[in-house]
Amino acid sequence: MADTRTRIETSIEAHPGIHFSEIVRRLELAPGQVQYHLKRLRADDTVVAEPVYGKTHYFPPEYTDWERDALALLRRETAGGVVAYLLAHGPATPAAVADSLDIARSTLEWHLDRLVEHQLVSKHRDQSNHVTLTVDRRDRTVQLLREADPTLRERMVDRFTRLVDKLLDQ
Amino acid sequence: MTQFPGEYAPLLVLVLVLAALGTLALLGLAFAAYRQRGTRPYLLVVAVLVLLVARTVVGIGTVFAVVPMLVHHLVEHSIDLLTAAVLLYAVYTTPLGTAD
Repeated sequence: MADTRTRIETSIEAHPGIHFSEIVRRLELAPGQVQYHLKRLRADDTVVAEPVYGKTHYFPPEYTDWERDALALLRRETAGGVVAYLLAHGPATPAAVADSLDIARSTLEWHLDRLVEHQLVSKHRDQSNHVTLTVDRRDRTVQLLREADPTLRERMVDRFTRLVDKLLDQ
Repeated sequence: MTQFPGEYAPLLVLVLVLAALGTLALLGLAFAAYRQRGTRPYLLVVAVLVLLVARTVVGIGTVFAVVPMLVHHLVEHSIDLLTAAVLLYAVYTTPLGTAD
């Protein structure tokens, strides 16, 4: 029993922000078993649970609120791509980001709203009201981007929304 | 009641099973996307894919003699009509994006 709990704990440390169903799948355990151990791990603060947009993500306790939100967002392929572009190219306009990632403007804006809300990216407006996007906490963001590893399902959903947005944007 | 030659029956069942898996996977994606975005265009995509899944369900029903052939044709072609209607509505109501 203790061994199962250690395996769950190790899995959360290796994949910060992992979902419940992903733990079940990776460790090939029964959902009830995982639920039981997670409850215990949360009770003694070995693991922190964070609901983000209707899904619970599990983190090691040393992650701050900002890091947990950031990681959950960066697990979305498009959001990760936008941030990676800004890290590689420095401050850029939304048009340049959308063009180089070949995504619809509506896709970019939807992800930017969340990236700005969670302080990963900030929008600066100059006197003529032109927007420039920048990444605020570069070093930590680079690390989080490396840790963010979307599941196949997350990638597929993200790509599905990109496709639909593109079709509707024409 | 089977109107297809017997040797094609296993092929038909195989195609229906693959169609069910494919359309259900697509519906799952569309539903997850709708939960994320919560906008009407995404709801319409879900609606169209529900109709696509329904076609396969009716097809399986006919193969297993639950849905008579006449009902099968009526339902399948009604679904085509509904699909066309939903897509036309989606195209018609797609607004011009707001420039930022």
